[in-house]
Amino acid sequence: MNRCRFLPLDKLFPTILLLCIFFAPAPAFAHHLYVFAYVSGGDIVVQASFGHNRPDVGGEVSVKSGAGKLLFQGKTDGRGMLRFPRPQLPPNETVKITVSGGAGHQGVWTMTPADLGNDSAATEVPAESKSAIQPAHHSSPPALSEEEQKYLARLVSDAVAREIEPLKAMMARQMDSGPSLRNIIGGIGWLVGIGGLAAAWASRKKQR
Amino acid sequence: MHISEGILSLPILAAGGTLAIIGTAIGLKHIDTDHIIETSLLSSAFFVASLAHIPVGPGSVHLVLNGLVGIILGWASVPAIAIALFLQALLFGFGGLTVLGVNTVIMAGPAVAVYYLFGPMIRKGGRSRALGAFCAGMVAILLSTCLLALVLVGTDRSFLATARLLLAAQVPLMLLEGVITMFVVSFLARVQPELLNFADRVHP
Repeated sequence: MNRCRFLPLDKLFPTILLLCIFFAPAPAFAHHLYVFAYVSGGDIVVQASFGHNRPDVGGEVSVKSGAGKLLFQGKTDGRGMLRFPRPQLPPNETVKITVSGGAGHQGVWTMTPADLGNDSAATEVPAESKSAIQPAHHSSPPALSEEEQKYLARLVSDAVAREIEPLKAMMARQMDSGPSLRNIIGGIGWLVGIGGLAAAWASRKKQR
Repeated sequence: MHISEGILSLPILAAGGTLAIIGTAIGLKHIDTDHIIETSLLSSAFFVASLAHIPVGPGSVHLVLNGLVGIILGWASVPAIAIALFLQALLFGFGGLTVLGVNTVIMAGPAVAVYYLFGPMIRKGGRSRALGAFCAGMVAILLSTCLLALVLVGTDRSFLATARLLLAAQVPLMLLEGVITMFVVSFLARVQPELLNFADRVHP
């Protein structure tokens, strides 16, 4: 059996602790590929990063339907983003977006029909909610033609999309916050704890 | 250095898992019961090293420190690295549970290799110790990168271009890990030379 002469605990422990303190508070960069996607107007925007604003530049994006049909392929730009037209999909179809960061890194984001605005429950607007959406329809004076109403609806939808896009981008940034200090300290605790348990078990075995 | 879920083929995952289990079993037998805590502390060092990020070109690499863990722990580095990788997958989402075996082989295999390759040099002391430590840190990363490239190409030939790029991108990391390992070993040797007295290590 290999009886390793290890470093004495009193010297090793401070060294390891220093290593942990040195690395832990630094922005916890690492190679986990974070992928987030959202609908913006008629497009889908994909954002891929390695955490803490380290974009995955030139990441290969593959978009597949829930049934596995390839819908779109492309590469992320210098900001780790890719914008492509929202594919026409049957209601209740999901979209799986896979981003490959090379060197074995891969991240996946699945968009539900609700994320895509393609929910059959949402598209079939119930009668009462229709009236709730258009409360001024009966009373308001503008007698708009159907074409004008459609145009107006598109304008409003575009304006809302523009307004909420920064919010969605902000959510995307929050998604790539990387490992938290709590997880790092927790992991070290687990490792030392497991070692302690094993040592206690071994010493009890020895005593017997 | 961590391969994500859903990339590798089933035979490679199974082979990696089997090798990792065998390596872990051998490693556990090599842990002296009096030094379990030290093993877990070095496992912690490996666990946090992956969080230290170094920008290289458009991308980035992270420290691995498997060379350092390897020359101190020998075979015991396999369970130490396996458990750290398990917690990294669970807490940080690095790698994954199905690829745990393959990732363990990629990082712990070279650790054991450098223990045998450069252990005798480090035991000699003097300049050969510093050189041995540098080589251990560097070669561990080189071997890990080769294994990683091999596994990727073994799954899909289209990864060949990625594998070539990967080797080039890891060169700065190899040098850095060599320097860090040399610094740590030389520092420990100067402060308390008997700490690195590997002479009474019995090869299995």
